[in-house]
Amino acid sequence: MATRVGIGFSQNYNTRLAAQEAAEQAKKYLQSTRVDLAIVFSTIHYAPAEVIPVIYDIMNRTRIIGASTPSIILPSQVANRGVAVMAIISDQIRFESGCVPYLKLKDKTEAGRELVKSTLSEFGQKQRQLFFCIADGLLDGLSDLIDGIKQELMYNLPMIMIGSSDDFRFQQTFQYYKDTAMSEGATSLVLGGRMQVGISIQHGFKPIGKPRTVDKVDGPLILSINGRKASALYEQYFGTEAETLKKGPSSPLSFRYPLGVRLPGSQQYILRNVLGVLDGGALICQDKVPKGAEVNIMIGNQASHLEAAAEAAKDVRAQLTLKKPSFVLIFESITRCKLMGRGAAEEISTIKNIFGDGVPMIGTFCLNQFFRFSQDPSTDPWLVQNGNVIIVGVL
Amino acid sequence: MHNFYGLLLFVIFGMLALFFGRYFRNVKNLKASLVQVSKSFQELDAQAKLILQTDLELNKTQEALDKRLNGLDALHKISRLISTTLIEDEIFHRLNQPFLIELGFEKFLILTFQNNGPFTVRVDFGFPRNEVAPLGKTFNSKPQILQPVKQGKIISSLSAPKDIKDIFTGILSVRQFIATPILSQKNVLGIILAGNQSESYTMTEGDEEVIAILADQIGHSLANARLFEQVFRSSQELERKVQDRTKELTSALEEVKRISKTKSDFISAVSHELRTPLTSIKGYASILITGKVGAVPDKVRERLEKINKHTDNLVGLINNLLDISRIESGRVEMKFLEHDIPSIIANVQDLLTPQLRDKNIQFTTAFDDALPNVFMDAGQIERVFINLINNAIKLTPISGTITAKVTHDSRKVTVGIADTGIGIKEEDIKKLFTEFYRVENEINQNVKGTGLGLALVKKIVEAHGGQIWVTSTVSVGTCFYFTLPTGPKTSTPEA
Repeated sequence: MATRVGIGFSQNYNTRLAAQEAAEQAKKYLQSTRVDLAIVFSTIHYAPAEVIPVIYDIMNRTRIIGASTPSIILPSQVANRGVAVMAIISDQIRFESGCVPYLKLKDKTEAGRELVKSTLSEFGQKQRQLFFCIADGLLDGLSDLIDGIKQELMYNLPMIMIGSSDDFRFQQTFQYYKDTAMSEGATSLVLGGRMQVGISIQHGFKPIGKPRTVDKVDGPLILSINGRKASALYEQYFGTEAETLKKGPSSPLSFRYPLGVRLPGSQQYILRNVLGVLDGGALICQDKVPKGAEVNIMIGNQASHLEAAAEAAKDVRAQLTLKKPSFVLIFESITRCKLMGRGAAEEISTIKNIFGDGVPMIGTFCLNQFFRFSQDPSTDPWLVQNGNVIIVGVL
Repeated sequence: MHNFYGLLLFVIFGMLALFFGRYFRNVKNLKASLVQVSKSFQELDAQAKLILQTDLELNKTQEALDKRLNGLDALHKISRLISTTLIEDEIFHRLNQPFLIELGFEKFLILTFQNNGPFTVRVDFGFPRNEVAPLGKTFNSKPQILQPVKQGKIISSLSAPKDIKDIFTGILSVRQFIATPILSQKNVLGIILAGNQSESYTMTEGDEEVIAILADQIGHSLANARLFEQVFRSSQELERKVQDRTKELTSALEEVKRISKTKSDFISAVSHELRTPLTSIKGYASILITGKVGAVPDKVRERLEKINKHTDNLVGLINNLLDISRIESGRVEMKFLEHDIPSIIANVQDLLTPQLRDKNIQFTTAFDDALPNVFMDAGQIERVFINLINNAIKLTPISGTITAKVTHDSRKVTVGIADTGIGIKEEDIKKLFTEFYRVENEINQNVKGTGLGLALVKKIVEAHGGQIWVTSTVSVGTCFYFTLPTGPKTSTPEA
């Protein structure tokens, strides 16, 4: 049997029927009553509290992990409305899931440790290959949660964390675990066994203009760049348009022209979306930027983003020694949803063509992206990223 | 030695001068280059600024274009959905779907009203369920808010004065809004309210246009649906009336049939009852005339002959009535056999020769070649000819002409009995075949008749599956036509 994967998708206007149709369609492909894992993504048009129990029952009460999303990535389209289910059974891959609810009320570092412990204790001593986590993308202090996870994982396992999202209202997002849809929580999945995993992360942005040096920082705040208030960087290039940054993440400047932080000794740039501007001109980022870091305004277009997605897909293929993966997961930054616009479908088509026809694919648009696949602790300050496409291929 | 040291120093100083000269020149050059590079860098940065600003503009345009395309796409889908139904509720049901969000708005409220009545919320999208009814109440309790829209004006956060803007954004809990009238050809049928709370949606004038187009589409569909409803109701009303009338007519027909049957039964019964004593009267009168019961004085004989004659007339009348009644009730069994019409006409001509001769009337015939035989009851058809030719003789002046003409086609033969008599008036023609109807003319005043002959003729012809009619011109002549089907007729028809 090896690994068998089925994908179901429904846009029925009735929430329960949509959940039922998507689950039954996915399960039909498995040709088995057993289901080892179901990955579920649904748009905000469907009440998660109604969707998840229906799918849980149809999936024979197996592990479920998933999130709310503004759009769902499928092999044939990027759907702005619907419920999608990827059901998996495998003799080779082992799965285990876990969750921590009520993160807002907890010490996040401790919660991160708890999440890893609960997930791995159920997984047992089998070989672990990837730790994947979905946290509420609207929560503050997710770095602490990551710290907790890191402490427990001890650099011996690649990890990906994404932040669940809504439809750009930034009001409430959902994380799915078994038969529960929760907010302000985190849910996790560990994959292992006889499997290969390929992971790649890319963005299509290039630096533009003079590089600047970050003078003063305070956590996720950049206070000063090149001796001037940090917001002057955007004001210099965009004039009065820079005022829109005060609106928050919905400002076009935030997602179209992020800050690029150059990795020391590298030509690579890590992206930071500016989430707002304080009265004193400090830029609010999603995570810390080290003092003395060289920063640039970044620019990209649909072609460069498309190229980045293609590079990520090729990279994953190369990591899997050009073999066809059993399934592919795509985690795109929510900003790319805006950036790609009507070109989003072309991006998916490009990825699909690289992996070849018939490879099951599912994906979501997420608020934040955290990843670590090197065992080098020096990259830790760069864990949090925005604006990327992360492609995971599992063989 | 001193010279040597002096020369050496000179050389060293010279070399140093050369070195420092070159060094300072290089430094100067480098400084100039640095200034140049710095200047280029500044220029590049200025270019970067231009690029970024142009890119931002392009992206904004692209975003607006994408939004417009999505909006038009959604409009197309919505239009297709609502234009394929003519049921008003179904139009709103189909609108109550997330296609609306593709128009670029998070919240939608569609209200309708009729004859200045209260607003009814027909579609709500993006509002919490418990907020919809209070929203409807708010607009009904403060109708002045939507009054300008009811009068056909579009209000939006892009152009409305601040106080108006604040009212709408407050009621709808949105940051941006648009209120558009739903117009039919003649009046405003409802209002679309659309709005956004999220910062990620920015309303443009293009959005106003899209919502206005949507309102137009809904207006057309609503007008069509209401027109259809009106036509449907009228057609149902008409159908109901037709059914009522049909019922009334059926009932009237039944009544007529019942009365007709009663009449036939009455005539039949009375005729039977009259004929028996008449037979006796005629018998006794005949015996008295023969003188077998005693000599009959001439005056008595004369009176007896009158009794005999009038009795014959009365018997003829009763027989005709009985025949009509029998044919009407289907009690006469016709014997349909194949006969040729010319021979029947010849027989009748023989029979009526004395009358023809009395008035010196010329009787002519004209028959089609290869005239087919006709399935008929020869006795009854002979009565038809006798009646029609007798009538013709009666109405034709001395030395006139009577013509019997027979033509045929594949399905029937047509007989025409034409005379050169006094003719019949138009108003009399219509009543000619009515029982007991006699045309008022000089001849009829002098010649007695019952007014049953033509009625009987009509019944006989119709019993054969034929038709009878008459054409006449006063002072020129009259022609009676009747048809008989050529095909076999096996059963007695119901009259």
